[in-house]
Amino acid sequence: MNKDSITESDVDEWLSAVKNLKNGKSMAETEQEVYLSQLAHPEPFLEDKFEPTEEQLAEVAAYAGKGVPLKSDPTVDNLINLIMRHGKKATAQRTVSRALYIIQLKTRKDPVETLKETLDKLGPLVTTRVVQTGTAKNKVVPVPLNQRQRNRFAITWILDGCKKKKSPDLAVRLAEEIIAAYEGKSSGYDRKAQMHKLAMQQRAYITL
Amino acid sequence: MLKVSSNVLKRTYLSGTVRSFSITSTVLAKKPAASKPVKKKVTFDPKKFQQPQQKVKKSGMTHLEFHDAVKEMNFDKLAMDLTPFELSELTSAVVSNESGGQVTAFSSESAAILKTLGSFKKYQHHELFSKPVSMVTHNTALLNEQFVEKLADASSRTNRVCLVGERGAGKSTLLAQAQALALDKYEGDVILLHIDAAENITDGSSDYIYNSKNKTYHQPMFTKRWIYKLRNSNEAVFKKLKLSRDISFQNKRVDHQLKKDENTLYDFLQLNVDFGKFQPTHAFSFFIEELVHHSKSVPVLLSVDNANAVLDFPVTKYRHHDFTPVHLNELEIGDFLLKVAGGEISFEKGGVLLSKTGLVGDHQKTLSTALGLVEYDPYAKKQFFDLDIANTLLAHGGVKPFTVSNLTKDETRTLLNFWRESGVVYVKDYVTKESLKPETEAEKKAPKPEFDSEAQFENLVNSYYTVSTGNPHYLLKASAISY
Repeated sequence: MNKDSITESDVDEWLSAVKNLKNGKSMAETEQEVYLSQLAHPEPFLEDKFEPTEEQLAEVAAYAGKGVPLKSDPTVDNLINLIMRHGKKATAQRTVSRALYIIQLKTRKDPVETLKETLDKLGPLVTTRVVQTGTAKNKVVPVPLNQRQRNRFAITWILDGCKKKKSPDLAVRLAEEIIAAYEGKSSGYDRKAQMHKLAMQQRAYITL
Repeated sequence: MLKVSSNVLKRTYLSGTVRSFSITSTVLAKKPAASKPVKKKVTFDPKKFQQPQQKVKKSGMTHLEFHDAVKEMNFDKLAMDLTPFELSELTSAVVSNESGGQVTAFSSESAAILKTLGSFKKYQHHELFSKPVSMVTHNTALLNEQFVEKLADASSRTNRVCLVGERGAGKSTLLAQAQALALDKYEGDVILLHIDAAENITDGSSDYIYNSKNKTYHQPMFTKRWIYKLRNSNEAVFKKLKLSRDISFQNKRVDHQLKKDENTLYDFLQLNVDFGKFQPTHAFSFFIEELVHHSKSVPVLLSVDNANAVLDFPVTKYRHHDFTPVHLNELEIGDFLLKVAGGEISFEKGGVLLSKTGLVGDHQKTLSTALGLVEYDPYAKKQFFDLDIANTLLAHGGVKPFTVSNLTKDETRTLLNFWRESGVVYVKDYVTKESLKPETEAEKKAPKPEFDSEAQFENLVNSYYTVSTGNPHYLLKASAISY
């Protein structure tokens, strides 16, 4: 600005601007100003009162009859935990995720459903336990299995089957074995049949 | 007197058929001393102790590990047919009308060329779809405007861009899109020079030989493979370009003399095998000179993926005869890259498109400083900062950074919707403890609330967008590869 061209009105304007600034700024404009103004007047944020908006209330109403969503599928968790070694859960999760990805690529179906179906097909219905009678001969008694026990047998057999596959990567071997089991080709089916056969032979000892 | 020739005597004595005149000498003769048994050296023979090995026949689809298996097992053939989706091809027109993201397919011609060049990479999950697809985003539109549109108007010296952005932001995909857009805009009349993994230049995987004339090391194996890729992918263009000068060379003891204005650049690349010979040749420099000559008429696009793997780590795995390491600019290809990226070699029409990778250390400062993203530190250690390379990149106006930003929420929704429709992402109800319990008779009879898949999809969009912050890599990981 040229010194000579400064008029009286300019000076008045500046002086009024300085006066305004001395009074303080009422409206926060920039992010920093908002932050500082909130810091200067923290009262509304310290109140322990929560008033939900109408949108939030509508959302609550929509989910009224439903339970809390689980973080992950329990069947997949079971598989992850059986694969886990030395507490390395993240590694086990990565292995299972990759295996399920290959299953999805191969079958083009929801891999979690494929896994559940496979475990259901492969899992035995009944096992046998030795009951000590106290006399010379022990009894071999057939015992029914619950869902989790059935899954455990199926997963263990699948993991045994993995050892015979070529790939150095467990994720690939696991995927191959699950796909084979899904198609009814796993060696686990022989073990299942053997287990059922033994239970059938000992059916006289079933207690109801 | 019986005359017997000495020969006959010898024969009869040896054969023993004729009785000798006296046996006294033989009777009185001492028994010959028994020859001492020679002690045999006891050595370990592993064959004797070896157990007969039983070869276990292992079944299975593949011997590969995850990433290779996924790429090599042709899963794309099992994917859903994308014809009903009627995806539009990636063209400049589509890019200029982009808003909120649009999933596009590569045209069959450009897809074939990009596949040969190696632009579709291992970790991009192309196996999910029956053909390569990509989404046109705000980044594509911006790069098209700032770089691809200028290819025919500007020299490569003034048109140099480096894609930067966080890991998985889509830099390599953008590179492939830029190549496809260039092919579309100039109707195939563009020369694509693409290096899909720059670290292959310096990682010591090729053989190398010193050429005392131009004082650089040739890498016959690497150069031969690269030229082979370029020849196949640019076949149509190279067949149009006549040589600007005569050249003669030998191939399988046959002399070839290629004539100026008569033979094409394709002929030269097909007949000349000097690129792969373990001896100093000038074939590569001839090829580059020809490219520079023809860049008056045909734009040349040099694209280098994982450029920071060589620019930030210029000390190579190769060694001089005194075992000191070879620098990037001492390699023939490395020198060419630096000269083009620095603007010393300039194609009259064309551009240079570099791309960073998030997979190598970010503690190196050379490229970031050259791009002006980090302030120059005069005290930086040499192992973290190469001043010569930074100065090379800054010469002639410098390389401009292009930040590849994450997807917006609309783009995320578009992409997830495409994945849902093409069977990559499954929209299903949440699993709860209650839903896992077996249903009672009363529950079976009771009417079940209808599952609102659209509302659930919107929930998933919000959830995945929050988890991934719009980064395509983490978006796919969260939605399809995490259980």
